[in-house]
Amino acid sequence: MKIRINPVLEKEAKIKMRGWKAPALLTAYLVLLGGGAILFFVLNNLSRYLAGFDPRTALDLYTLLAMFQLGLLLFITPAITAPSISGERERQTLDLLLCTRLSSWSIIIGKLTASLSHIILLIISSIPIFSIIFLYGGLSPVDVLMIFLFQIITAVFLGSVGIFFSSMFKKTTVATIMTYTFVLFITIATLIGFAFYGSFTHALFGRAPGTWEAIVILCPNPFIGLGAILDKQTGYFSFVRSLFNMSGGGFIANLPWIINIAFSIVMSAIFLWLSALIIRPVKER
Amino acid sequence: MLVIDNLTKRYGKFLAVSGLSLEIPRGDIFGFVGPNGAGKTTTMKIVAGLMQPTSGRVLIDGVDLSKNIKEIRGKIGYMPDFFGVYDDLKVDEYLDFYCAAYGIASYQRKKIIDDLLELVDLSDKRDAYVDSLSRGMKQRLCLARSLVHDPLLLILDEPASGLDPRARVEMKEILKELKKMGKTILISSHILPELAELCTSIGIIEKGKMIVSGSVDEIMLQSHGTRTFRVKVLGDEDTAIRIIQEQPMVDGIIRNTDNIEVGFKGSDEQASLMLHELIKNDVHVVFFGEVQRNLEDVFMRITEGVLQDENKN
Repeated sequence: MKIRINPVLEKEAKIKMRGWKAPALLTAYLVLLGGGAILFFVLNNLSRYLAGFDPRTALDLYTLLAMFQLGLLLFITPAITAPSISGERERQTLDLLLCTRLSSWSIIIGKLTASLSHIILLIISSIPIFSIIFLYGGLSPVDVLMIFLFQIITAVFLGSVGIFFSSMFKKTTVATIMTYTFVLFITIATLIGFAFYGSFTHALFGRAPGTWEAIVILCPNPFIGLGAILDKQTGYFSFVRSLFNMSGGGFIANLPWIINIAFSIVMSAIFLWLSALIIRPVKER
Repeated sequence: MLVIDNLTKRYGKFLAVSGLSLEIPRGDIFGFVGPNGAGKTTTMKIVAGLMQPTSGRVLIDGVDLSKNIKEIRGKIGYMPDFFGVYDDLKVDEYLDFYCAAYGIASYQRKKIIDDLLELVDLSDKRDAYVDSLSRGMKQRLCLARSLVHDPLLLILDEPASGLDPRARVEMKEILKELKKMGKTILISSHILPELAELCTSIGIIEKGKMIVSGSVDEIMLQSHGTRTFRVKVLGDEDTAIRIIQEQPMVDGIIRNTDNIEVGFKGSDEQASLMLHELIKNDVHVVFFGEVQRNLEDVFMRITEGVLQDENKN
């Protein structure tokens, strides 16, 4: 049996990989990530040359790469997904697409998977850089896979947001600005909001925010989710636990990243559903 | 094939289409004529399933558009007035993508693409990038795109707009070919005389309302009330004029330097009787034919009537 690929995905993949932008993005991405890793080693080896090998070097590099990669994905995903529907509108090809037999849902999914395949390609291409840490030991491939999976889920979430704004606004510029604003909101505004809320609870009740209050405010933040996973894997980022007012480990210590992933999945579904609804010109039964 | 029943589309207070009804039998070519902003594109977009009407019904091949849009999409080929193409996609890949979007199996696509490229005379451009094609070629490619799924009804919104005269003739030839293939076509154009030659019937739309519709001859007659025949005779023109004047359906005669123009209210049969009378009376007729009215004239006259009525109200 022949597998049927979503036509939008097939077309997008063809167009994207043909231009100069995809190889340029891949090169820039690897230069940044690889350059960061090299810089880290150079600086580390210079300072520790006389002190001998420190096994924590691998963990330092790992956390640095994981955070840096998430930062790059947060920066790249809106740029890739925000033009997806508005670009079709600006190019005057959306109507041609909508009058085919493809449902608006297939078009949206095709657009998302096309953007994601690009992002997954970036993540996969970073495997050799991440593999450096295996030279030192202390981490298993499962740990790295978990980080990648988390980053892919985050990319799906932000991709869905990008597609939603792209469906909603006619102009790509507006859709892009809105998507970046959303990224800033969930990454920075949640932290600022939490700080404000913390000072509020201190002033009024003389205590720090409770676990569930922190979860509600901070769990949309992908850096907090990633921090919680890294804390579980490496023991670094224990401050994440302190933010959530959690002492010790156990299942409850996993809650920040589990809830972050669940939040991303549920919000992705909602944003994609809304996007399909927006671009659908006539009710499909 | 296509039934539009009391279609209305309102944008806030603006009424784009108002109670429009029309019926196009299978195999007919219906020309949609009207000035910019008359509601042609809106009507066509609604029929193509790209816009929800405020009220009214559209039936295509007996199926209600609002009830089964997915089935209807397989029966319609739509070519918008403005459209874009994807960069970095070759002509055959472009058509292959739309074949896939219409759910056509990959093993069937090559033949379909070959046939369509031949129809629109782009076979030699198969490997060219779509973006590199001329405007006329892109229009033809877009027409081929609208045919990939062999639709029953074609909706062509200004297919010849922006084309140079040569490209326009080429487009017209393709449309004639489609007519021969038995496609039902709803076509809009601002180049009215072209429609007269191509269409089985036309409808004139103004301010969202269908002012008049019917066959081109019927509309000419409705608009002018009379047809014009040109008669050229050798020798005695006075006798010819006297005989013509005696005919019952004649409505005025103009004597030109080398011919006579006759206003005539009758049918083709009555016109042939007039010619018969001339020949019977030994008038040497060298030319007898109906003067093709300029459809643009008709359109201006009809829409002028609408404006005057509105001003009175």
